[in-house]
Amino acid sequence: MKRPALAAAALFGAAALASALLHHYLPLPANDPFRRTLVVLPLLLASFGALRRQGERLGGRPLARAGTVAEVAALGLLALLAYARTYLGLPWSDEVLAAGFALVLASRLARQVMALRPLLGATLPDRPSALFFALPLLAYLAILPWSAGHREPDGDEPFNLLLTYSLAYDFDADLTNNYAAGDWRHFMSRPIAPQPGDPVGPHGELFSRHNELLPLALAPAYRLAGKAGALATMAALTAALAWMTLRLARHYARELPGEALAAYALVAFAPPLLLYSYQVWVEVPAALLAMLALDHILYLHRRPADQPIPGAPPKERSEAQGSRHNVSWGRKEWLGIGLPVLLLPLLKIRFLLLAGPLLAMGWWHAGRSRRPVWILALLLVAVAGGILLHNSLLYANPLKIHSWQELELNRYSPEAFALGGLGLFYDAAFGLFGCAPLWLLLLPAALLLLARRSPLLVHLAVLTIPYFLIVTPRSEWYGGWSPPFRYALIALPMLGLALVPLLARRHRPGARALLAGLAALTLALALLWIVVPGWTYNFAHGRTYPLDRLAERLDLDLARLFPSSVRPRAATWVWPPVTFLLVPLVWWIGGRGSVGPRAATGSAPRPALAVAETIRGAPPKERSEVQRSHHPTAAYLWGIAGLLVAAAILPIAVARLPTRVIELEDPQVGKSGGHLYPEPWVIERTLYRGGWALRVGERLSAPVVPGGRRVRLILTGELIRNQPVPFTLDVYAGDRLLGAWTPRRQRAWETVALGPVDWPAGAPLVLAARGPHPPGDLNGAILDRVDLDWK
Amino acid sequence: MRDSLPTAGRGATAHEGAPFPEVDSTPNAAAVLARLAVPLAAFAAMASFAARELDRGGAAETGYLAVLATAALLAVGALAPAPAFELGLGAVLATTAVWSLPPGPSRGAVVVLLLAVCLGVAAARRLARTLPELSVAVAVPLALGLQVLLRGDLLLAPRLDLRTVVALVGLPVAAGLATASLARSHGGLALLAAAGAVLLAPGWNVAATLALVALAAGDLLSRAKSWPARAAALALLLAPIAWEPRAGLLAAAAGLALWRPRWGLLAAGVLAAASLLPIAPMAALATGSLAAWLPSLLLLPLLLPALVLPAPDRWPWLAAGFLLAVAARAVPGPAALAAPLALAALALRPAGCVAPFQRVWPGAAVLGTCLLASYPWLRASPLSAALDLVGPRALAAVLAVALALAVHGLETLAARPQASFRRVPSGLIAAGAIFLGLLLHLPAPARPLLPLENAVKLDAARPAWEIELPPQRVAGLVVDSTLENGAALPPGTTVALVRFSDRAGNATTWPLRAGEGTGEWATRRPDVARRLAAAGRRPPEGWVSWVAGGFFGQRYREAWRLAPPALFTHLRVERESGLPADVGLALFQVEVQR
Repeated sequence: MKRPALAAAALFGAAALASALLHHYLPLPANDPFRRTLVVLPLLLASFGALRRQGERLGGRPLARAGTVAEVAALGLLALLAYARTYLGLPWSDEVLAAGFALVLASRLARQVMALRPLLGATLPDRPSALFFALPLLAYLAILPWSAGHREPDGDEPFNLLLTYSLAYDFDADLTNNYAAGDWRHFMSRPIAPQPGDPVGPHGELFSRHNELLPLALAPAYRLAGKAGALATMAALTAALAWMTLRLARHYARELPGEALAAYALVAFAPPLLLYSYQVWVEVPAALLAMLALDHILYLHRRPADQPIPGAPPKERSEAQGSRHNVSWGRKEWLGIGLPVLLLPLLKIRFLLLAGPLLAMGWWHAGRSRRPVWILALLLVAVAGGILLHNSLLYANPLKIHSWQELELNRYSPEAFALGGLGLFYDAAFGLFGCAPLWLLLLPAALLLLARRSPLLVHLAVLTIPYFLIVTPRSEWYGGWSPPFRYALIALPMLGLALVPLLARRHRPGARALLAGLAALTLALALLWIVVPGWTYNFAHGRTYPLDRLAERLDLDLARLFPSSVRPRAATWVWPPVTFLLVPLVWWIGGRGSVGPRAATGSAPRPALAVAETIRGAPPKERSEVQRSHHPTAAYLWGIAGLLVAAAILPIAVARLPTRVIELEDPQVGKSGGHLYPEPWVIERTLYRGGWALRVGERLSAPVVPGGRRVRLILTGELIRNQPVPFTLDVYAGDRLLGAWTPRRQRAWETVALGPVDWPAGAPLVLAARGPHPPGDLNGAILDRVDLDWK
Repeated sequence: MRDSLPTAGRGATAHEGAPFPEVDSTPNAAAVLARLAVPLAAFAAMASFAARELDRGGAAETGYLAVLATAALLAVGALAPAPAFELGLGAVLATTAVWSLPPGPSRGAVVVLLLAVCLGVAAARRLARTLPELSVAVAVPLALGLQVLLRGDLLLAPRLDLRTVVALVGLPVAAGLATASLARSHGGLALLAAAGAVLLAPGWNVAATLALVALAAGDLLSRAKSWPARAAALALLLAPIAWEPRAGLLAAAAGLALWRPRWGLLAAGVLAAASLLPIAPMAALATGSLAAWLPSLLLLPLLLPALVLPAPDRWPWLAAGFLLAVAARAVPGPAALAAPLALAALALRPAGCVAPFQRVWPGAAVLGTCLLASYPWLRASPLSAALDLVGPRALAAVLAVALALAVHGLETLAARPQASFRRVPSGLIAAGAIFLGLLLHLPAPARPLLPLENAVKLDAARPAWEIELPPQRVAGLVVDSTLENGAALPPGTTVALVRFSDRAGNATTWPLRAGEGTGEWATRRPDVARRLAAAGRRPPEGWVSWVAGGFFGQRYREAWRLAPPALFTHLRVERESGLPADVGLALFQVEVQR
C-alpha cells in the first residue's frame, strides 16, 4: 500500500476509534441533541481532512492553515460548550451551539469549494471530480444528527419510511401489520395512522398512497442502519443531484467554470436543497433522474457525428457516423435517458409530466431519429398504463387519491395560476425567495438569458411548463405539509445554472452589493432553518414562524409586508413587479464595465474586456484607476449595510403604515380566550377561511395604525350557536363602544359594516363577545377578518 | 481567446483559482465610509427593534446590545483587512441574534461571543499582515475594541461625562499609541506586553495604561536622539508617579529598565527589598503576606510560560520584571502587576518555536477574560475566573512552564541534522493543553430540575419547593437563585435550607446564606449599591446577569459537593421562616450532579 493510502487508513482508523470511545464514554444522556454530533465529529474531521488532501493531490489549492486552525479551535470550543452547557444554565444554548457548529461547517465549505476550483480547469470537464459529490455529502451528513434528532419525520416522510420498513423487513408493501405493530416506533415517537384517502385492499389491507420506488431504494440502507441509513441514502441522492448540477453546467457554460462552481455551491449548500438533504421526499430523486436524462440528451446534441457509439450495433454506428443530426442510441443512452424517463412516473405519477417533455427533448436532440423515441414512448405508455391499471384494480381509482378533473386546466382561474406560480417563488412561507433570498438573482439572470436567447431557458420551459401547469393552480400548490419549494424542486438545478452567465458579470458595484446583502440574509436564514428545522414546515395560513415570533415581540403585523399566495394581500402583487424592476436595476448599477470575463456565448462590451485585461496584467497606474472605480470591499459592505438598513426600516414602516386588514387569528392580536379555526393541521387548509373562534365572555384586542381620522369597519364572521340564546359581539375603539353585531344565521359567513366612525389615535380594536351563558357549550363566532376603510 | 476566469491548473496561485478572485486594494474613501456604515446600520436595525419591543426589559437589553455591538463593530471595521468579511458577517449575525433570540443572558452571551470572535479574527488577520510592524492604525482600534469588550458594562445607560469618555476612549487610545511606540523596537512582543497589562484590571484603567506609557517612554528614551524628544519621554516616564506614587514607581522603574537596564534592575531590586523589609515604608502598605501574594505572582508564568527562556540579551528585563512583581504587593488595585508583566513580556524571544506557543497562551487568556468580563457574566476578576477554568493555578503554572521547556527541547531536537522531524507544532501543543485543561476541569453534565427561564419563587405564602427524584446517586447540588428585598439582610443570614433525603429517612441539609451563595438581585442598582457601600458590605459575585432597565440584575450560584455520593429520592428547598415577610427567594435552577 502506498504511503498516502496508509496515512489515510491510519487517520480513519484513529477517527473511528475516537468515535467509538466517544460513543461509549461520552457522559451525555442518550437523548442529548449533541451526543450524536460529538460522536461522529472525529469521523467527519477525518473525512474533511481526507477530502482536502485528495483535492490538493488532484491539483486543488491548499487550504489556508490559519483558517483550518481557527475552525478546529472553534470546534473545540463548541464541543466544550456542548459538553458543559447545563453547567452554564443558559436557555436556548442548544440552538445557539447548533448555529455555531453550522457556522464552522459553512466556513469550511466556503473555503473548500474555492480550493477545489482548479479541479475544473479552464473549461468544465465532462465528468467533474467525485470530490464535488463527496463535499456536499459530508456537509449533509454533518447536519444530519442534529436535524434528524431535533425534528421527527413529518408530512409524507413517516409514510415513506413505514413503507421502507415494510419493504426491508416484510418484503411487501402491505402496511396492515406495520400499523398494528406500531412499527413507526422504529423511526419516530409520534404514532401515525393511515392517511386519509390511502388505498385499502380487497381484504382490508392497508396500503400507502405513496409509490414504492423511493422506499425500495432506501430499504437496503434501512435494513443495515435503520432510519439513519435511510436518511444517509437521501443525503447521498441529494449530493448526487448537486454533482449532477455541476456536470450539467458544461452544456450551458463550459467556459465559465468558476461561475458554474458558484452556482453549484448555491444549489448544494443553500436552502432549499440543503433542507431536503436530511428528509425523505420524492422530489430529490425525481430531480436527479430528470437531470441525468437531460444531461444525456444534451450530450446527444454535442456528440460529434463520427464519434463511435460504445455498445451500439454496427448498423446504428454507421448511421450515426453517416448523419450529423440523426444520432442513434447506444447502451449509454438507453441507461442514461431511457431508464430515468421510465423511472420518473414510478416515483410519482405526476412526474409523467417530466418524462414526456424529456422524451420530446430526446427526440429533438437525437436529430429527430424516430426509432429509439418510438420504443421509449411505447415503454413509457406501457409503464403509465400499467400504473393506471394497477391503481384501478387495487384502489378503484387510476390516479389513487387524485381525479381527472384536476387535470382540466380550464377549471382553474388565471388568478389560481398566478398565485401558485408566484407563490412558488415569492410566498414568504413556501417560496424559494422566502427561504433563501439569494435566489432573487434569478430575476436579472432571467433577463440576461432572455436577451441572449439562451437555450437553457428553452430547455427549462419545455421540461417544466407541462408540470407546472398542473401543479401551480392546485389549492396545495405549496406542497402540502412540506418544506418550501417542494413541487418546483425538480427545476432547482437548472435555476442554479441560470445564474452562471449573470455571475460572470458580478464585478459591478451594484452586483457586489446585491450579492453580499442577499448572501448574508440567506446565511442568516439558513442558520435559522438548520437550527430550528421545524420552522421550514409552515402552516398554510399565510404566515411564517419567524414573522410570527417577531409579530409577538413587536406587537406588529409584520407579515402584511411580505407576499403570501395562501392569503393573498397587496404585498403578494406588489413584490413581483417591484423586485423584477429593482433587483436587475441594482445589479447593473455602476456599469462602467465588468472586470469579469464575458460569458461563453455572450458579447461583453469591449470596455468590459479591457478592464478585465487591465486587472489581470496592466501597469500599476492603470490598475489603480480600475481599483478606485471598483472597490470590492466597499461594494460588499454597502450591500450589508443596505440589508441592515432595510431591517431597521421594517418595524418603523409597519408601525406607520395604516392598518387596512386585521386577520384576527394572527399573533399580534391579543386574545383572552378562544381558539384557532380551523385546526392548523387540517388538510387542504387553504380552502378554509382562517379565523378565531371567540366565545361568550372572551375578547380580542388588535393594534391599529390609523390611516385617517374616520374609518369604516367591515367585519367577517360566522355564528356558532350552541345554545338557543342571543349572542352579541361588541366592537370597541379602545374602551369606546362603536357598535354591536348580533349575527342571526348559524354557520354562515356574514359581513357586517360599521361606521364611518371617529378613530382615536393609538386605540386598539377590541371585539368582545357577550350573551347569556347557560350550562353547556357556549355560543360563539368564528371571526375571520376586519377590513378598515379609512376616510 | 481566454474569456473565462483565469485558468487555475496545478500550481496556480491562490488568486487565480478562486471562483471570485478579488481586487484587494487599499482603503479609499468609499471603503472607509462603508466600514462606518455597517456598524451604524447594525445599530439602526437593533435600535429600531428595541423601540418597538413589547417587553420593556427586553427592549432595554436590545438597546444595550445595540450600543455594545456598534462600538465593537466599529473597532472590527477599523481593523479588518479587505474584504472585511468579519465586519459584514459579524454585523448581520449579531443583528440576527438580537432579533431572533429571546431577551436574557443567553442572547447577551451569544452577541458578546460573536463580537469577541469577530474582533479576534479581524485582529489576527490584520496582525498577520503587519507584524512585526504595528502601526497606530492597528494598535488603537485593537485597544478600543478590547476596552469595549472588557468594560462593556460602562455602555449600559452610559453617562456622557469626562470620566466615561476618558475610560472608553482616552485610555485605550493612549494605550494603543504606547503599544505602537513599543512595537517600533520590540515588534510583536509589544502586543504581548499590552495583553498582559489589559488583562489585569480588566481593560485599560489608569494604572495599566500608565504602565504601558512608562514602558513606551523608557523605550523612546533609549531611541530618541534629540533633547526635546528625550525630555518629553522623561516626563512621560515620571508622569505615573504624579498620579499614584506606588504604582507610578513600579511603572517608572519598568520604563527605566528599558532605557538603562542595569539602573532599572537596581531600582526594581530596591523596590522589591523595600516591600519585603519590615522597616520599609512600602512594606507597611503591603496588602498581605508574600504567600497571599503568590497567586498573583503565578500570573507571570501562567500568562508568559516562555519567560523561562528569555532572549539571551534581555535577562535584566526579566529579572527586573520579577522583582517588580514582588514589589507590586505593596500596590493596591488589580493592575499592580501591569508594569512587571509587560516588562517581562518584552524579555521573551521574539521568534523561534516557542513564540507561537507563547502567543496562543495570552491569546486564549484574552478571549476568556473578554467573555467573562462582559455581559452577561460580568466577573469582577475575569482573568482569575478564566484561569480557574483550567484547574488549580499553581499546577497550571508549573505545567505551562514545563510545556514551554518541552517545546524548546523539541525545537532543539528538530534542529539536529539527524532529526526525523523539522517542525514542532508549538501553537497546537499550547491549544491542546488549554483544551485538555478545560475539559478535565469542567464539571460533568448535570440534570436540571427546573425548566429554564421558569423561576420558582419562595415567599411567606409559599415557603417551600420540593421534588421527588428517581433513585440516583447524588454527587452534588447546584442552586441558582436571587433574593428580592434582601439587601438589608446581614451577610451569612440563612435564607433557606436545602434538604436531600431518602426513603429510609436519611437526610443531608445545607443552608443557603445571603451574601454567600445567594444575594439581592438588584445589588448593582445605584441606590442599593450606595446602601451596601455605606454599610461597608461587599456584595457577593453574581453567577450571571441580565439587563433590568438601567442596571444589571444578577443571580447567584451555590454549589455543594457530597463525598461520597449518596442515594437520595427527595429534594426540598424551604425558605427560612424567620425572614422578613417581604423577602422572597427565586430559584432559577436546581441541578443534581451525578
